[in-house]
Amino acid sequence: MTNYVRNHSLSNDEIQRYSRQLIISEFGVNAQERLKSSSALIIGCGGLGSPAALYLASCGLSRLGLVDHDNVDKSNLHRQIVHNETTVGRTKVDSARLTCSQINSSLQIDTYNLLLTHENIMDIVKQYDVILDCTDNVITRYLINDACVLCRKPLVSASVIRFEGQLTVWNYIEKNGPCYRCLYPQAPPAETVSTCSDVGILGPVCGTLGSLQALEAIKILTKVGDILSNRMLLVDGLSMSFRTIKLRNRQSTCAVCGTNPTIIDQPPPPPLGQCSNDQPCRRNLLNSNERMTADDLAKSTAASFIIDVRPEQELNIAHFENSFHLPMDRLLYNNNDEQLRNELRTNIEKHQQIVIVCRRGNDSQLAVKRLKELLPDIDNIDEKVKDLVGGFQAWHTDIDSTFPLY
Amino acid sequence: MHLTLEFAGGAELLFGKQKNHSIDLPDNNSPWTIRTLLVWIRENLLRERPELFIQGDSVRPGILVLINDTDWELFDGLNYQLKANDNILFVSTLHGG
Repeated sequence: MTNYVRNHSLSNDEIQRYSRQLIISEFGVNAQERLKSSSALIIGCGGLGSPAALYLASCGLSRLGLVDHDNVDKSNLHRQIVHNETTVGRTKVDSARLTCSQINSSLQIDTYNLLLTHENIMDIVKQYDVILDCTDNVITRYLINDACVLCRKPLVSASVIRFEGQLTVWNYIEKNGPCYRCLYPQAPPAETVSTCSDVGILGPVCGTLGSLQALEAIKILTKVGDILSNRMLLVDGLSMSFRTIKLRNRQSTCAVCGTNPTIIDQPPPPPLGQCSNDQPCRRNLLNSNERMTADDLAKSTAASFIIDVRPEQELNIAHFENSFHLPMDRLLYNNNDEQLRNELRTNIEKHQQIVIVCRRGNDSQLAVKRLKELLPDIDNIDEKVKDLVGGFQAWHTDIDSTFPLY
Repeated sequence: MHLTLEFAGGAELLFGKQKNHSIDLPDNNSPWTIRTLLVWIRENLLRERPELFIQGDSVRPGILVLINDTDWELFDGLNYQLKANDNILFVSTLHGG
């Protein structure tokens, strides 16, 4: 018998399992060994975190951390492919752990069923070699960025909405790459931020970006290939274009990674009143006498003129019979639309009460204000025009559960 | 002077959902810059809600400006002098996941 040499620590079982990546010329046993002693943290087990978790659980890491504070909802399943019908209602981290451990039982999986804050994030982030930002809101993205800079961790960040995605690696020190704050020193105004729950997202767009996050994480951990630092990938699924843009270097003026940082020991707390999730905040712009509940509307006998201000695609899901469709865009930016103004005037004058409805009861409040601005001269307009508190969601919950929830 | 303007990441929603715009800027006494281009865009292209695109004399926070696919910070930002056939891309940052 002839002796053989193997200068690595991989077992025969591991060699078999990871054989298809081991035999890639740029990868090999060295890269696999690095994975074997590496850890990754996925923050957000949703549309991006799902494919990232699946691939990182499969690739041969020693440890995978999963963070999420949310539970699995049926409306997640079209894109959050680490979850399934049997785990609806369970915590996302438990659901993701279950799936990942079924793929790879030798992987150590640590779960954090919590909302990240400036106080708890550092202790978690510092334990891992690479961090994946798979979250859904601006506040948490700044929080994760700051923690990664302070803990000197590379951050693989992706974001998606509708048909589009963006991917980059922040704080990649080897390339003097920028952090999130270098690019965006100032947070965007809250009203300019769209969320997946408001404007939608197609599953495979998340799948593409989340998978690419896993790829960049594997490259960082194994030191293979060119890292997407100082660059950003823009993906547009509608026109099917992939394009890489060149970004600035690390900025000496940056508040967290610059030469005179103001953020030093831990990330700053979020600005007052800002939400660190993508759930819509309930607005209260109107007085209670300008609003009516679903119960009030159901019992009302007054001749009502109902204005539905949702976009057409939402109206097509379901709408009240005989309601008047006036999407928010048209209501808000109609300064020269005399025909619309006349139509509204006629209807408002002819009816006893005007009820404005939307999906959740936020836009409808803006619409009440706008309508009063547009037609200030109508008698009793202040008393007549009301909005439906909680919108069609409240209508579903309180009055008619067959009205579809979305 | 001919330019290609592109809007992405949702910024196109303020421009009638049209992502690509081929434009010709009129001759000017002084050279066109991103700063003066923004004024031109506001007056000629922007359909609605200018505050979602422009703040002061610049773009609002959260919009990245790319000159021929390169971050405007690597040029002179607002003071970059436009050249014929430049491609200027305005990308709104996405946050969803």
